[in-house]
Order: sequence, then C-alpha cells, then structure tokens
Amino acid sequence: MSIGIIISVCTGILFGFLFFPAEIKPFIDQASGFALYFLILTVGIELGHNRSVFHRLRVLGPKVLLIPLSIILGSLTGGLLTGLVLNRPVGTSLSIASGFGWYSLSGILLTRLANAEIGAIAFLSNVFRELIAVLTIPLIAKHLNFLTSIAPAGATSMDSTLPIISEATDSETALISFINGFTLSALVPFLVPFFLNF
Amino acid sequence: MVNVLIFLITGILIGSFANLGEKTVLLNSKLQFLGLMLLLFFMGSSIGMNKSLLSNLKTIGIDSFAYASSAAFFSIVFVYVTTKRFFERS
Repeated sequence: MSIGIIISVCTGILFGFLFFPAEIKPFIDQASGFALYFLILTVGIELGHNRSVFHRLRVLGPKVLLIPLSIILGSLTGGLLTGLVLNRPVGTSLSIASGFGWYSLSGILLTRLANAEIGAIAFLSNVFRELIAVLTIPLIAKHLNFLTSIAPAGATSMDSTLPIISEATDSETALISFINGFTLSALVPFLVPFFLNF
Repeated sequence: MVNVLIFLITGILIGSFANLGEKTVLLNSKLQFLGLMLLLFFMGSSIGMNKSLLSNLKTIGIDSFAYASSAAFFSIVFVYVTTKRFFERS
C-alpha cells in the first residue's frame, strides 16, 4: 500500500509539474473532490456494514477525545520547539502548528492575520504535514498501533487521509479518525488566531 | 466539511440497511483502494501545478518542513503514549 501511495503522489506531482496546463486546475480540483466524496461514501458503507463499531465506540465514550487532545498537545510541542530552533516568535510558531494539516484554511488565516510569509509557511508546512501523514500512516498502523496512525493526519483525518487510515486499519479506527478530524477541524479557526497573540 | 458528513452518513445508511453480501463488501474495498490512488494522484498534481508554492520552496521550504515534521512527530509520540496508557485492550 505504501508503495502505491508513493507512486500515486509522485506521478501526480510530476504530471502536474510537467504536463498539466494551469487552465485545467479547476478540473483537477473538481475531480479530486469527486474522488474524495466517492471514497468517503465507501468508508461509510464499510462502517455501516460493521455495526458493532458503533457499539464499541459507545463503550469507549468520551475517552476518544483523548486522541485529538494528544494531537493538539503534540502539534503545539513540535511547533514550539521548532520555533525556538528557528528563532521565530512563540505565538507565530504555535499558530502555524495549530493548522493541524488543514493548509488552505491556516494559510489564508495567517496571510490575513499575520503576513504573507507566515501565511505561506503555514500553507506549505501543513501541505508537508499532509504528505508526511499520507506516507507514514500505513507504516505507523503496521509497526506501532492503529490509533497512532491518526496522529500525523491531524485535521485531515476526517477527509483527505481518512481513506488511507481506513485502508490501513479497521472500521473502528476509521470512525475514531473521523471524529478526531472533525474535532480538530472545528478548532483550527479558533486556535490559529488565539495563539498568534501569544 | 458538510459534504463529507453527508457522504459519510449516506454510506453508513447504505452499509447498514442494504444487507450487502461479502462480495459487494469486497468490491467496495477494492473500489476504495482504486479511488484512493486516484485521489492521491490528483493531490500530487495540484501540488505540482502550484508554481508559486514550488518557488516558495527555496526560501521557506526548510522552515515549513521543520514545523510539519516536528508537529507530526510529537503528535505520533503523544498519541502513542495515550493509546498505551488508556486504550490498550486486555
């Protein structure tokens, strides 16, 4: 699976860079939107088919929120340490890290609230985070445990990386992944501006 | 975000009420894999087509990568510790 992922992303980058003219960008966006919705539908079908998943989730209860909480603390720790090494302000670093992989929103927010450079760093670092997630999810699921594979995905674990998590793990993890992504996505618009003024 | 929720719930409803056979479920997971490869290809193309992102790589690429990898790394460590402490099944 990991090899399939690497080949798909790399041929995509290559085709985008070498062959696709800028005019077909709206078509690519639309196509990836369709592909995503189709995938989410297949993930849903799998979840619905495995009804016991919902029962197990009820047993876990609010404990599932420990996953997004750990991801928030982990992301902020990473952002803080990187900021110290790169000698960038603490607030800016925490803001960038609070994108949790949602590059479009954190990029736009920080371009407006801070400046174009910070916005670009937020955008690019969250694109990198999504790429890191895409590449590491199957490895983490195999070598650590299923739930930990949600960690690098952050907010994207409810959409773009959900199909990868679903493929690499089981239905229960896919459902927790969705809940995690939903929780983190809802927090991005609040945490990014909040930390900026730190 | 709303669309994702709509498609997920539609899928769950189909999965729970359609009484799908094992063959259909297997087909579903094969389609999921194919769709995933397609999505990743499109994801890659939109990165490859974003020329301003690529030109920014030279100036802010290393900083951005440092933020991304450290946030991902510590998230993995924290979640792993949490799962070991609170989620381990007997």
